[in-house]
Order: sequence, then structure tokens, then C-alpha cells
Amino acid sequence: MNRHQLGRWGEKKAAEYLEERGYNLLTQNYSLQLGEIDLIACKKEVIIFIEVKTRSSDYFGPPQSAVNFQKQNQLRKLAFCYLKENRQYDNFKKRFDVLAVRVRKNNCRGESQNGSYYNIEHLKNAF
Amino acid sequence: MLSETTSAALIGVKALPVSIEVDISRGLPSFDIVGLPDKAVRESRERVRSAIKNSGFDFPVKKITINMAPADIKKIGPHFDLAIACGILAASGKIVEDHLDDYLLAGELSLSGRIKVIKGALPLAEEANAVDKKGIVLPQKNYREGALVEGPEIIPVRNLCDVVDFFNQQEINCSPEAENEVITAQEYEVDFSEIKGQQEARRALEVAAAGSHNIMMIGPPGSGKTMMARRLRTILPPLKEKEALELTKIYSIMGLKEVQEGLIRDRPFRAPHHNVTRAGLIGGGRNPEPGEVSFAHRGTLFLDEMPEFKRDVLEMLRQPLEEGTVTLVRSEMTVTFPADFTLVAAMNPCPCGYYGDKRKECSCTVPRIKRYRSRISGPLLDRIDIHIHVPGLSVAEITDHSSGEASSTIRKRVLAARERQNQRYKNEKFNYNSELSGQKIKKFCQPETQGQHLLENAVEELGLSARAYDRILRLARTISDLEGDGAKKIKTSYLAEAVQYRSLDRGVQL
Repeated sequence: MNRHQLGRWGEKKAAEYLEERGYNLLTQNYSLQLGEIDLIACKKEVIIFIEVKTRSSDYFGPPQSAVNFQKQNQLRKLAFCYLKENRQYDNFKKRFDVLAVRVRKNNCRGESQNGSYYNIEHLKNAF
Repeated sequence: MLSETTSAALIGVKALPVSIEVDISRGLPSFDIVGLPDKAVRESRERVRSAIKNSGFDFPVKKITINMAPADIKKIGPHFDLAIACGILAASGKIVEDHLDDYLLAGELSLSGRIKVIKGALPLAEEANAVDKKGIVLPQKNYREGALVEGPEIIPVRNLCDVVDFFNQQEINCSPEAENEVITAQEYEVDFSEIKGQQEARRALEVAAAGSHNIMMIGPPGSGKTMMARRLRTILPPLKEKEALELTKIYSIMGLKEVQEGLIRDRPFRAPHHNVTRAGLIGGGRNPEPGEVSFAHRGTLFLDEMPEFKRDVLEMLRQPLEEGTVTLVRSEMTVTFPADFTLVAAMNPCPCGYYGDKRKECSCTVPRIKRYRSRISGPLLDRIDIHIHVPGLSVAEITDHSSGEASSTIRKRVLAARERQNQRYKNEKFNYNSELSGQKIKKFCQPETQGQHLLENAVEELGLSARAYDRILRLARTISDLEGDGAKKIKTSYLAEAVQYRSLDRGVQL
């Protein structure tokens, strides 16, 4: 599995994780020229923009440390565009979350369906 | 996941307690320090991160916020590293918090987790005592410095693991390199007995030492001005414990090596070169640091070739000469350093150096000599009580091998004279004759009738100013103290000697 696949896999896991917890997924991979928002969900009058980061080791730091200032700014801009297009969420509260997905390298292939091979850390209102 | 540790900020020679709050919460990993940290404190983030990691602990990948309170004083210096690191370790559960608050923490971390020597351990230890902490955790090399303060327990540490062990198991892994010894007698490498001839100058220095008067020596090159100035401190009484501590504190905040050996007992001798800057002489900088006048506290400040110093630099000496302290006002803070020194100035009588010399002719014109002397302003000269001519030595004096009186003998007389002054001024705010002024001179320096006549004559004949008149009375008081004369009225002979010490008031005579 290459980096790209790992990322997509992580996003899938993240989506499952959110749905299990009662989030209502609106869009996956909302992308513009600027970049993309991995997941957009809502729950009880709150619209949540979610960045999913997946890493197979902590060797270069944990996944969430990659969501730096530039990335945050990019997400803010994208969220702004999304809200412009979808005026029905104007009265919702807005929130940015980061979902950090960690996988043990050799196990994310094959039986990665099994939950014990990865863990998800949900950072609410990350920035 | 909140913890609190205590350290202290250094402001001049004082320390102010700073509480360091560490909050670790979920969120995107970050590490922020708020509460007016200086550059070195801001940079401590990187040192702390590496030191914790390299000491074998996990650095929490969470949102770390550090607050240093009170937020309005500037926190300067790397000694906050240790308190920050311990705060983080406590907030992440690696250090038991039970005793953490009983101790003040100070130490600079290296990336490996080693704790390096810091500046200002002495005022920090004092502060630990003042705020009723049980003790202070200090780098091993700073142990002796901290141990000068009676009261707080000093915990010497070499690295971060020592600190963690101390708080978790109450065991001290690290022992001090050496304990402070009690030294009573001090030894100087130089002695008054080495001075050849110069009876008059020796006497003047003795008077200067006895009354804590400032002195100016005027003489041709090679007459021994510098040599004598160096020996002035050897006839001053030994530093009292309190004075020694004041001095050590100044050296401590500059992190000078001597301090690591414990208390400084020798009176300092400082001889700045004449190209010294204002900041170098009286102290300065954005975060004010002491200058030569403070390093010479309770000792001798020797200005060789005084007319060569920049005029504005010399004028800066007025405040310390008057008050014994120097106050540095900067936009961010105002700091007062002690600067109670005896000024010893030396100059040539004229630009060529041989005016008044017996063997070599002077080649200067009178206006040139006047111009040269006028480089030292009246107000400054006014604060120098004794002016003494130091003539070149004759052949007989140079080849003479007999040695003069030893410093220890002179010191006894000086000590007795100072004791007499302390007795007399025990109800006053000052200690020495040199601090007498205005009304106090009238009160304590009454000349006898015959002496009054002599003084009137001197004022008339030599054209002395009212100011010089006061100086003469003060000096005569010191001379009488030195002679062990307890009489209330000052004897004529002492007044006559004092008049001799005002040679620069007489102007240039050909």
C-alpha cells in the first residue's frame, strides 16, 4: 500500500468511526483547486470540517503534528467556500476537527478491517 | 493535567518569584510559553523538548501551554528551563507533585538533559528563603554559591533524572563538589612594605583608607602611582560578612567563575582602561548589567591617567560617588546596583608628565597644563578629598633595600580609626568622615581657635574655595581619628596636614 492508498484507507476508517458515533456525513473529499477537505459532517446544528491524517509509524511524529498552520489556513479557506455554496448551514456552528489514524505497518494490508490494527484519536475543535 | 512549579526572575541583584503553570490538554500538538518571556526563555522550548526526550521520558504530543506569572515582569535567562521541564513532567504524571511546590527550581538544560551552571544562584537561593520555600534545586556547580545563604536546603543536581529521582523518591543522587570553608584571614599577593620611599603618599593612602576618602595621585610616569593604588585594598579592613555577600551577589548575577568557589572575601581592585565606555563603567544594556563601579563595590576603583578618560564617562561617576549606588533606568526596567567604592585616580601633572619633577624638565606651556587639568571637571574633583603629589624617586630611594611598614600594621591603625568613626556616628545614617556634609561638618568638625586662624590664612593665601574648606575639615577629622585623638575640637597640626592634601585647588604654580 502506498502513501496515497494509506490516506484513502484512513479516510474510510475515519468515516466509519464518525458514523458509528452518530455523525451525519455530508461530503467526502470536497475538493477545489485550493485543495480538499477530507470529510464534512454535521451533528446537532454543528457543521464539522474534518481533516484525517493517517500514519503508519510515529517515527516522524504523530499524525496530528502534520496539521500545521498552512494546512489549517487552507482548511479555513475551503470551509469558507463550502459554506458559500451551501447557504443552508449559515446558522450552524462551525468546527474543525482532526482525526489522527495510526496503523501498525504490516497489518494495514489484508485484514485491516479488524479494528485492533489501528486506532483513531479524535481531536475536537482542533483549531 | 495542570501543574505548577516555582522559579524566580533576576532583576538587578534581586530575584522575584515566578510561578510557572503548565497545562497539557488534548488538541493539535503545540508548545507555547506566555508571560513576557525573553528570547532565551522562548528558546527553552527546544532545549526542554530534547532534554526530556533524551532523559528517557516521553515528551507529551499534546497542546502544552506554559504561563509564567506575574506576567508583567520580564523573564530573562535560561535558568527557567528546569522549572518548565519539571512542570511538563509533573503535568504528564512523571513527577509526583507532593513536594514539587516546596522547592524553587533553577537550572539551564542541555539537549542531553544535563543541567548546566547558571547565573545568579545566590540571589535565587536568597529568594527561596524569602518566600519560605524549603529549599532550592540548583546545578551542582552552583552549590557553593547557593549554600552561602543560611536557611534553604540546597539540592545539587547534575541532570534531569537527578531531579525526577529527588521528587519521586526523595533521594539525592548528586553530591556537591566541595563545601564552603570558613576562611578568616585573607592574603593579598601585594603588600605596602614593597613601596619604596613615598612617605607622603603612603600617609595619604592611610588617611584615605581610614576615612573612606577618594584620592587623586599626581606624579610623573614611573613614580609608583599604579603600584600604590594596587596596595590600597591591603590596608582596608577585611570585608564584613554582609559586605562580602553584597559583593558576591554582583559577581553571581554575572556568572563569574570566582563565585563558584564560594564567598568573595577579598576587596576588589578594578582598573578599567581609559577607553572604557559609559555602559562598561557604570553598567548598562537593555537588560541592565553592572559595570566596573559595581564590580569595585567595597573596594578600589582605580582610574589611571584620569584626564584620558572621556569626559561624559567620568561625569557618570557622580551618582555612585555621592550615593554609593548606581541606578540604571531603562524603558523596560529600572535597576539599582550597589557601587560603594573608594576612587583612586592617577594623573600626570601635565601632558608631558614632568611638571614639577626635580630631574627632568617639563616642556609644557602653562595654558597647556591648565587645559590638561581642566579635563577633570570641578564637580568631580570636588568629590575627591585628597590630592597628593607623588614625586619621582631619587637614586638613593630606588636602590634602598629596606622595606617599609607592612600592610597588616597599617591596617590595624585604619581599623581603629574606623571604629572611632562608627562610635561617633552611631546615631547617624552614615559611617565615615567622607560622608559628612554641610550641617554635619559644623557639628562634628570643630577646629580649635588656633586652627581656625590657620584655616583663614590658608583660604586667604592659597585662594581656597568654600568647598575646599569643608573638605579640609573632613580630612582633618579623619587624621585626628587616625592619630587616636578623641578630642572634640580638631588640633591645628591635623588641619595643617589636611591643607597639604588639597594641592589641585591651588592651581598651576610656576
